[in-house]
Amino acid sequence: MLNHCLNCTVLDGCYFVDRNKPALPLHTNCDCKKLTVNSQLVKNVAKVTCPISKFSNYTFDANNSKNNYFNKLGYTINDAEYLKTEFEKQAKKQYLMGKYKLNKLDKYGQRLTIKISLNGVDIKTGWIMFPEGYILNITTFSGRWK
Amino acid sequence: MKKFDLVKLIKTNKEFLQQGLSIGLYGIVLKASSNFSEVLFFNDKNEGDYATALTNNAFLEVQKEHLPNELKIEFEAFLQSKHLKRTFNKCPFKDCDPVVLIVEKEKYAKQGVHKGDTGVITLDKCVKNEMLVDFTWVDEEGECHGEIISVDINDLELVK
Repeated sequence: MLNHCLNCTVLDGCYFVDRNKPALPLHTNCDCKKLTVNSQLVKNVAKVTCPISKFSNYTFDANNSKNNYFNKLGYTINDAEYLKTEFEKQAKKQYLMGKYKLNKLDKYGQRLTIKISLNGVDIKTGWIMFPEGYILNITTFSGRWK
Repeated sequence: MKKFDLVKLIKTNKEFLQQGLSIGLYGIVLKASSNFSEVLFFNDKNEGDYATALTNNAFLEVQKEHLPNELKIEFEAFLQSKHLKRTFNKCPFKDCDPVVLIVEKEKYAKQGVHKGDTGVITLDKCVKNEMLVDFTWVDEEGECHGEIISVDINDLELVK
């Protein structure tokens, strides 16, 4: 473990849908292996979190350009709790169906882009994957879903 | 308790808390005796960082997992090559903190981020003294620009 690269280490114990997972080997001499996990187990343990601070402290900060975008979609800081719940609900559904885009993999973890629909508009949102089906939001808007 | 046991800290005291050693941390026993053990604890807030502490065995719970032999050899070499430190490196930022890049460096410039750019800490996790910072912004047309990049915590300042 001491000499294992961090990219491999952060993937240890992460759950992916088989058709949408990082391609192995990740590098020369990579000894990562794919193990099959029962999908029902993943459904039971999957936890998707979007901290409310992502809206209350970040997105709706008056100095943040994303504030204007969410305002145009019809949301204000008063909707932070609703958006948190909606993001978590939609992201969990998309994750379990394997409907995510694999983004950058680095020492922090495997980044995922997940589509969230708000008032008829599809947007890209950024998440990071941790072991045992834990997905955490890192950014509430990374562009329109095209 | 024996050398290379994997342990979890289940009790703490004022002195330990001052070192940043809180309940739930995992570690590896470096030296064991009947009442106290020298333990290397892993910093759960800054991966790659550690602190060693002489620990009352009653504060420790031995885990059922064992360090594989090849890792013991690697670890022994690591211990020989390091002056072991007693405190964790502190992580000065938390999730959603607004920050400004205070240096111009090629590694950031290559990703379009320059001295004076402001961003937001986007993950409450420090890895080898770096944190993930969101430098993205949205234009009038709703197009998103910029990058989320890893930045050395010493290259950042909190925006007040």
